[in-house]
Amino acid sequence: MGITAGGLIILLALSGGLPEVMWLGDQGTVGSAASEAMGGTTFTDDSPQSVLLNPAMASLLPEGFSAGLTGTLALDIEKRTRRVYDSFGGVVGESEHGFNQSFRPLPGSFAAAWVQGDLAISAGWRATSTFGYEYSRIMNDGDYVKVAEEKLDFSGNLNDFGLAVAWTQWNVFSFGAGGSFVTGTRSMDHSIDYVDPTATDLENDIETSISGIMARGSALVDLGRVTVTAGIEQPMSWKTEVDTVEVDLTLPMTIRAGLRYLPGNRLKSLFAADFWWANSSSIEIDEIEAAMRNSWGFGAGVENTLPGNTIGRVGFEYDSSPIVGALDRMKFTTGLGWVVNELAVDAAISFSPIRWDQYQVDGLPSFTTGDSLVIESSRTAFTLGVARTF
Amino acid sequence: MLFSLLLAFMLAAVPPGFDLNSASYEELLDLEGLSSEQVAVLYEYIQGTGGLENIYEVLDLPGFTPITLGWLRENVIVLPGAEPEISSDILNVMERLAQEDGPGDAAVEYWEDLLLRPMPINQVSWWDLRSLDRVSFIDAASVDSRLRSLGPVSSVSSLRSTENLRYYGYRNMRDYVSTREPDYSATDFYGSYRFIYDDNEGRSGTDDGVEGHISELKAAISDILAGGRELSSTSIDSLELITRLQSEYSQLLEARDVTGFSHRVRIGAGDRYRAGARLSRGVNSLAGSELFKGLDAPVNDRFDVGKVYFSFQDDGFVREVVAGNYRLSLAQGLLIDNSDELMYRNTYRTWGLTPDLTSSRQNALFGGAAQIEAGPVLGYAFGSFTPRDAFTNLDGTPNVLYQGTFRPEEYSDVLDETTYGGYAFYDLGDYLPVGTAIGVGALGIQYSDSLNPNVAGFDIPNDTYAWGCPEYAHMPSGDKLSYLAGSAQTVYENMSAEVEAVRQDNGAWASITTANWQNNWFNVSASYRNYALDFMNPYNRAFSEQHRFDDTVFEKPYRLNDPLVSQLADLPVPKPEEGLYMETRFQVSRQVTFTKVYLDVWRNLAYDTENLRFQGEVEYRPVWPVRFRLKYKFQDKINHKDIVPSNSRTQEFTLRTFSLPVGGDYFSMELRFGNVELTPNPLYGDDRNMCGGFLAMRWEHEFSPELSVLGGSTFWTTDGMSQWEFEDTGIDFLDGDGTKFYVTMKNTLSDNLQLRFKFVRKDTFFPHNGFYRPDPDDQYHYQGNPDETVTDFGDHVTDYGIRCQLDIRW
Repeated sequence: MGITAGGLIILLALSGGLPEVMWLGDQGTVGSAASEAMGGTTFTDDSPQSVLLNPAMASLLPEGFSAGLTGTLALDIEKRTRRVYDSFGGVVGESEHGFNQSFRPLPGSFAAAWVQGDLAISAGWRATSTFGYEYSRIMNDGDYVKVAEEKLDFSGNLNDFGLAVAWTQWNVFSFGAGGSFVTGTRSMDHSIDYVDPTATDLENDIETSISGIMARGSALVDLGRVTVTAGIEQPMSWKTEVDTVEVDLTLPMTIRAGLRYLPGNRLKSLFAADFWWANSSSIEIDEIEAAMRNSWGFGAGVENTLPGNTIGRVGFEYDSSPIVGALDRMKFTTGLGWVVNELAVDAAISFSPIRWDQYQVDGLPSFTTGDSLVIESSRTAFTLGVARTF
Repeated sequence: MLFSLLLAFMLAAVPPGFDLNSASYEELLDLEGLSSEQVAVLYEYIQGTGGLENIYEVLDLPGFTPITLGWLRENVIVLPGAEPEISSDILNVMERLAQEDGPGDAAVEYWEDLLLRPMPINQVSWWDLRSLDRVSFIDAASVDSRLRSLGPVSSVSSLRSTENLRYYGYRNMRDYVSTREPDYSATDFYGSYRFIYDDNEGRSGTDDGVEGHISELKAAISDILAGGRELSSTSIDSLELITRLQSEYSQLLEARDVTGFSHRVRIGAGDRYRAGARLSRGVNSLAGSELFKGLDAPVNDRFDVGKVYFSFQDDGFVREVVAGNYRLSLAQGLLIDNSDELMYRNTYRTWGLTPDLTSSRQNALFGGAAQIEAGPVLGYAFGSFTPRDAFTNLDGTPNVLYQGTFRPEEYSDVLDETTYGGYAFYDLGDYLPVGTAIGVGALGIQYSDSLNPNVAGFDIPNDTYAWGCPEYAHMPSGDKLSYLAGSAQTVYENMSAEVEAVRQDNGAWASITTANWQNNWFNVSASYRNYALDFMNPYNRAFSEQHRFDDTVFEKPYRLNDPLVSQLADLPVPKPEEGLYMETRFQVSRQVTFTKVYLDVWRNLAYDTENLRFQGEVEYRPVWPVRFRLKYKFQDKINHKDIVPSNSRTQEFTLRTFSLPVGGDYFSMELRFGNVELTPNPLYGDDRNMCGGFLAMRWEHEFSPELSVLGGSTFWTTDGMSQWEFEDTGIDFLDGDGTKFYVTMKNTLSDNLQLRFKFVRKDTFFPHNGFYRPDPDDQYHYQGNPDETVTDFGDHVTDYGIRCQLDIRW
């Protein structure tokens, strides 16, 4: 779910719409920087962090001990516009109404793996979701006189502490199982400060804690140049707590599949693709259906070793939104990598734009004075990762 | 001594002729001269690169020393990896074809097939060769003549000396033909899968894009609700109209978020059998009605084009049979050519019957078609039964056939069309020059409901515009259409002439005559056409200057009850016109070439107005890798108006340069300026001049034959005259002021896998000011807040587009 979708849910919450707990944050860089540069193909990535998501991939890790660390900086830009119409109802253009920009670090991931013969074990931490969002605007009356200033600020993240085990049979089949404990907090600070001292300012701070367990299982078939893998992820016992009120969450099962292809050419090319599907329509909050739709996504990327041994990567990712089609997101990714002895350094840039109208999401308080009606936002994320084999 | 004994022992342990590249991991582990760490590194390297090119390459691998190299040199060999089944030249041509895979290019798939299984040159006729890309009639006939007179050739290159065959024609032919003998008993299985993801947001903001139609629909709805249209005073059911417009509006809003997907599978067995299928949905497309009627499955919601075919080829008198979707283009396209695109100022046309998996829908034919060859007779027979979209009158009757990118439920699959016909050609090449033939054809179209063109369905009653559109007034009515055609063609040495005439059942005629003269340095062609006003064949794609509804009321959606009807302006049928077109190419020297110079003088038969268009382009190549091209275009058009015709004069200057600086790099730059001079009109402030221009640059760098990256950027400014620019894979519309850049990566991973990836960012700036309106009923307003005063603003639109294409072959 994108950051703007998150903002939506918050607005829903503020306006008495859906419970705010529906917002599970914006997915961070959960795999290596290399997989991020290849269209977010984490499920088919053979890094210590990624095998926490797909345990069976650990069979492709090098023999011995290896570790990986990833961190991200994100530039978020949001522009809100209002359409201008002539007296016939024809669109004249879009007038900018608000502009928000933030540049901040996002937690990443750290994991270590140990492979001995047919057995592999990995453990680590990943910041699977973040709750970063900042919005502010000056509220004017019809004569363009400042009336108030509104601020909305979110922070926090979800931490996934995971463990995975994999074993290989006949050098072809690998099976993996894993699990993780997910915990985190989200802070919301919403305020409206009126110029008129007689008016009552609004100050609304909400602290939410979220926790749950993830169980994962996957399998892999290594056919030499082609590797095929599939897995399943089941959330269990998810709860949120807001001001001592505890709410049960039923989150969807996710099915994933992926493919890696090593064509064997002078560029040492690698092609990777993965696909996921989640029955998000089953999401329940305190046993009440959340009226979501099933969601899916795919990512694909390619890696080439360029002359000079610099590794170039490019990829593309598409994720459908469980809320509404207008919030579906695409992501363009690219990156470079270098290998020096046992140390690999990778850098990735991803860019994800989105544009939607407020009316496209039910329950939003749109078509009111001064409201933002068209939202254009983008996230540009810079990810740096290092990995070392010992 | 000890070392020698040890060496001898190790030599004995390695089988003779042990190939490192083809060895398994376990076999490498058995090599006494390599450690397990070295084996791991070596095996990964061989897998990753496809194999060592020579034994010395191991020195580049970590952990390998000259001693290891010495041992390997003594004990093992390195055999080259398997040669790719498809040459890089062929892959390059396939890559080029992949860029051109448009809605009208069913032949592209046929050409792709020919690259892998070429046409047997010793068994072909001129009509087979006319199906090839950019091979002229004279080129085709000259090869046929050479084969008939001198017998089979032993190699394709020997065709090079064929009399009257241009080098250009030979070059475009050679990749698609070979001296192989077709084996119709072979059943070797092959195929391909293509996936395309297309989210070209940057192209939605044009007048023809989804945003333009949404805006027009909203304006029409607002106008009706505000009582701006006197619907109650007419027989038009205003409730029916407003309901329809609101439905279309909501469908278009949903279409905003629709991304394009395409899945295409083709398979074949030997030289005899082919099959294929396509499922796709266009960018911002509406789902329309059911893709597969009566099928309650998600496929109906996710895709808007579904196609399938099976084809059978034989060496008997039945040359080819296609069941399912097919494309047919014969003679000069006056009787039958079912592509979605019109031929603009282009006398080249691909002939023949091909299976069709393109994205075209409205003109797709589904049924069966056959190509028959019996002695000197070449015949085509075809039949099709398929639903068609149509604009409907408010009483539900179909008005005219619908041709539009956006097909709402209201206009989708309104009627069924049964199409049938045939074309037979008698080859007189045994008595007259090879290529000479005469043909007769017939086409019948039957609809399940009568077409009822009714102006009341489109015209806004009692508005200031007096409806007048002769092109529409002569649209066919009823449920049957039929056409008879005759054609003749001949080639004499390096000259050719072709004529085709078609008569419609209402007595209307259309005809086109084309002549061509060519050699390696000079060619000239001329074409005369005359399409009567009341001649309307939905499958006519013959040479023309304009669409049937160009410069008509259908280009003004605000004049139409339903703005979506404006899509009729894209109907790919020629305008009723009479004209003479002349074109030449002349290579003066190695340095100077007039690449394309043409003059078209034509009369719009709807209004009897005269028009003229001239274009000249000269190329100067001072040294081989550098070329400069200067192009000038002039067009003088007269448009009908109620009292005095208006006139527009367009001039365009373009300077382009291409260079190949080093290696596989390619650089080009294009500078264009254009202006239009109009008849002054007080309604538009007597502004009689519009202009615009752009500067575009492209650079392609080839990292290796398998990987290249192309980057391009364009800067433009316009003052009323929008610009069109050809990007690497299509045409882009430039309006306002702005910049854009795009990056395209082409990666051939192997014979089996190719990737194309394109990213575009486009920034367009439209300044808006002067919003003061004294009339309170004529105010600008913000969405959702009609009372707030609108202030001046700059509309900065940022669009992103992504296109991914994946090709898998086996």
